[in-house]
Amino acid sequence: MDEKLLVEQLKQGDESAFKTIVDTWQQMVYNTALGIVQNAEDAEDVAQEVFVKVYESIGAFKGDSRLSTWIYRITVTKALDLLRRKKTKKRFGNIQSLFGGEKNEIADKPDFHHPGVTLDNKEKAAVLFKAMNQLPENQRIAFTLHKVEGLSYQEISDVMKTTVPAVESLMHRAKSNLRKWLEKYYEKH
Amino acid sequence: MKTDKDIQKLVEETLGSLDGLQKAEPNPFLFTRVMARLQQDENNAWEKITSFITRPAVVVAMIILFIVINALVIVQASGNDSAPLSDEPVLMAGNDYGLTVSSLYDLNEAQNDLAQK
Repeated sequence: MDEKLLVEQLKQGDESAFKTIVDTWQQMVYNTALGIVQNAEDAEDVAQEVFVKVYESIGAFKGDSRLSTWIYRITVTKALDLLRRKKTKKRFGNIQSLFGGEKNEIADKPDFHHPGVTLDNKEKAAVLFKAMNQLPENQRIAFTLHKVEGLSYQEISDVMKTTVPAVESLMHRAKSNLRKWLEKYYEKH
Repeated sequence: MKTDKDIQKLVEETLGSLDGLQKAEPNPFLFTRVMARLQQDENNAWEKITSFITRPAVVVAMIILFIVINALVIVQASGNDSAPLSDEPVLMAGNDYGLTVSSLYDLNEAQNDLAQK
């Protein structure tokens, strides 16, 4: 598949080129979103938003990075946007309930069970995803791209527009924070 | 009661629990849904524009703007008309050739002369 040709065709509004792009990258987009938002329905929404954005913004794609890198960036951005919207909604709901409004229905998130986890790892993976929720954004993104998507540090640095040493640092801090959280968790449970 | 060793083992196993993770499958109708969303966005854009310009406050603002612009044009135009055109040279030329009518009485006289002829 000639990426440059595909991009040119999509810039002309070629629907079959767009279908090729969606077919080629939908699994990548969906899985990345799923790893970040930890909810199948939300991940599907994010995937749709990503491809809508790809279609509408292809004119802005300069070709200075790979198309997949550009799509990864949009996916990460859209997934984080959704998480932020949900956090704001939850916060607003909490404030409302303080002033006698409706009780906040959005309680703690239920455990997330990734459909691709092996059976014997299901419980531990659910705990790990819970721990990942606590990470600062950049650490969470780096860890998710590495562990869920299997990207190399070089690929992650391209997506996050940073350096490989910066990604190494993020991963080191992410693992350190996860360990601390998991130790506390297993002391209680 | 878990020992530190037990806890560390659990922590390491948990950190490794995503090893061998299989890819989840997206909705097979994703492309169809994306196209539907693009179509919806296009319709929404027009809806947003029309719903904005039909809002009462916008309509009133546009009417006021229309009136103000027209008023400015009228005021500007009447300002240009205030300086009277000097017709003295024309009158003087008319006098030289006996073409001017200095009063209505003269005009009537001139008309009667023409009628008699």
